[in-house]
Amino acid sequence: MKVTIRVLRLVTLAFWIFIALSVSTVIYSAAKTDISSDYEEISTGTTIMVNLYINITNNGLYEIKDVHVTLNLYEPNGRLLDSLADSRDKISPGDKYIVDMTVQAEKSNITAGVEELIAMTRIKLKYAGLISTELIVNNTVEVDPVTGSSISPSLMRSEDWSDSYAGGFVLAEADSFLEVRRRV
Amino acid sequence: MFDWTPQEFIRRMLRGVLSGVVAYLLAYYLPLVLLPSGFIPTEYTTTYNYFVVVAVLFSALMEFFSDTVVAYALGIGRVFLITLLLIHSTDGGTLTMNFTEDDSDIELIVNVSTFLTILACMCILDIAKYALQAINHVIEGEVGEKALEQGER
Repeated sequence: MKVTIRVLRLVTLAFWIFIALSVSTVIYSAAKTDISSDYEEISTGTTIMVNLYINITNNGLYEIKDVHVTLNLYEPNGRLLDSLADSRDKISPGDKYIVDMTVQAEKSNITAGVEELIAMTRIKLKYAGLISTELIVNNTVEVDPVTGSSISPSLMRSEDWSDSYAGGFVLAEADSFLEVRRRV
Repeated sequence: MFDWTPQEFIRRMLRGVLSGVVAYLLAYYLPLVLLPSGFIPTEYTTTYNYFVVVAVLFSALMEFFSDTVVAYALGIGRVFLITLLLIHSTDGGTLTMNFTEDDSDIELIVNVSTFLTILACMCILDIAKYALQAINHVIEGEVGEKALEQGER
């Protein structure tokens, strides 16, 4: 009995040490993952366009798998106007993944009375095969903005996730996620 | 049940308090000093405090009842409570955080169910370890008593 207990104690201790080390390296690696992005709304005479640029650089020790980026443009009533998606099976350590996509909607195609659209960005990824993360950002896009003005407010700055929030990418601070520039 | 002398009782009390203080320093004060402020999202601060209370209380009690079968029972209770808290606080393995920044609504969903499964398995292993230790403690106690009885005869 004593031998069994001793073995069990050693095994559990070894497992706990292994788990602690794994968690530490995963968090450390995740914190070193660099995600920068640029979100832009462009309104021309007849068309509304939303451009999304994302650059994911894996500076960590583990692979980032099942990366899916989706950009949807829809009306508040749920009617989908345009949608684009991009995905990649894996981003190996040291690799980069760049997405540049633009969704657009003809103003004539928008339901009458709708004054703003919703641009939904969805980023899904799995870190180290253990942590699945999904980030959904909803932005409102004005349908009929004032013509002639040129505003480029930097509502949110693009920064590394590693710098944005203590705890790494899984807890990336949302307010430092997207840089928004509007050209009206 | 426990034939402790007053000195033994006081010694156990002191050891329990000391163990509780060490557990408090390790589980609450040290992370507070080492980790940057805001590391734990505000939604999870209360849950974290529950973890600290469980860790401190059970460490103190287990030290107080050390070398008795109660300590192992408390060990099982501690592991069981921590497992329940882990499952409850992560809502079965999914952490959700919502932010609003100017005109952007942001939702962050982190699925840690794989981690949770590993931790739950480890907790079960710990429960088994404490149960075996408790059984061993009782058997050793009975063997010791029998040996004493035989010696007296």
